Amino acid sequence: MSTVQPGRTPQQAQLSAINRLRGEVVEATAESAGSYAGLVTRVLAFALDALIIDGVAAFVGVTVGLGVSLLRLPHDVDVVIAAVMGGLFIVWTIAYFVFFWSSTGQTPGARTMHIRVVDNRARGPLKPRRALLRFIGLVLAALPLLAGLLMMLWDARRRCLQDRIARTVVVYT
Amino acid sequence: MSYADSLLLSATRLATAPIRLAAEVGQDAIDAGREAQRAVAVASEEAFLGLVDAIVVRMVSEDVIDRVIARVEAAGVAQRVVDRMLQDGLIEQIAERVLSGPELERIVASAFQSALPDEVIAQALASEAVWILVDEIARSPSVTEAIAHQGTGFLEQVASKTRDRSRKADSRVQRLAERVGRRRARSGASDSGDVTAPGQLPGGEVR
Repeated sequence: MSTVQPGRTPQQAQLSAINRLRGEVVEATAESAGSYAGLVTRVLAFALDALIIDGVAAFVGVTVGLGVSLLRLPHDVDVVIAAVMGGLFIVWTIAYFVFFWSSTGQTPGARTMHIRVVDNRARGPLKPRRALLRFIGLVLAALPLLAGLLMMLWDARRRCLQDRIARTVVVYT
Repeated sequence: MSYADSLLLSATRLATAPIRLAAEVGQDAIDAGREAQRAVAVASEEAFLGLVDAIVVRMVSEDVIDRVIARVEAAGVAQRVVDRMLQDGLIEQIAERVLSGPELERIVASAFQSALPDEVIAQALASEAVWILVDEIARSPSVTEAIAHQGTGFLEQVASKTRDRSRKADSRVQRLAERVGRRRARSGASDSGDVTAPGQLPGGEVR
């Protein structure tokens, strides 16, 4: 049952109802297919990705650290190198996710768990700008005690905050 | 002893003296015969062994055995014997008997209980050739490929199991979250005093 809200014409209300119904049908179809990846699978995929990212970063960090320790550089230079390395770590992390999301839609962790990030409508890989937006959304989702990630539990298409921002969904492959 | 008894004994001895003499001579003759028989047996045995030894030496030195084997092979005797044994099913019977009988088990059990396996393993480990062989086998492409395949197969198996379980866990967590959401919606509705069905906003509007 729907009621006509004040300030809206009957046509607008009808159009709104049709769109809403269409969305519900799409959601119901997708939900019944069970094709949207759930929390546990996505967390495991992310953990694998974090392992790769941190492993590579640790290897590079240790290598650079050993090299720097051999050179006996001044303290200020050490600080600058550490800052540069920190910046590189951030760039590496962003590049990792943006590259994989915009190329195949699958990071190595997602590939292992057989899930894929796709465009909400086109169902294809994201453009780099959308992938970058999704990464920013991921950071924002993690900030309020992961609330932005947990919101997928009450979403019919299991979308987190970053999915809503970048208009993406994560599906099982 | 009285005189008469003594006289009788002497007379008896005198009377039986020839018989005793004859008996002793006969016994000596028998002993001599046995001795001669033994000597003949020993001599003939030694002669026989010497003959056998000479035959064997001759056979070996002049390759008699090789010639005999060559002739047997040329005549196809061995082939005929084997064919006959196979035709008659003798080989099968022997094999069946050996395999089904308890002898083989006993032999195998006693072989394993003996020091032979330990000795064999110790000698094999001490041999450098074995390690070279192991190294060669380990380096062979088929073995390395099989090991790699097994490793990736194992990882894929682990990943597959993990995927299955994570998907089940997804559904479980989702159901739990939905249950929590419904309970919260129900308690919120009862607090406000407006009872609405799930999926409806208070006031009747569809959410």
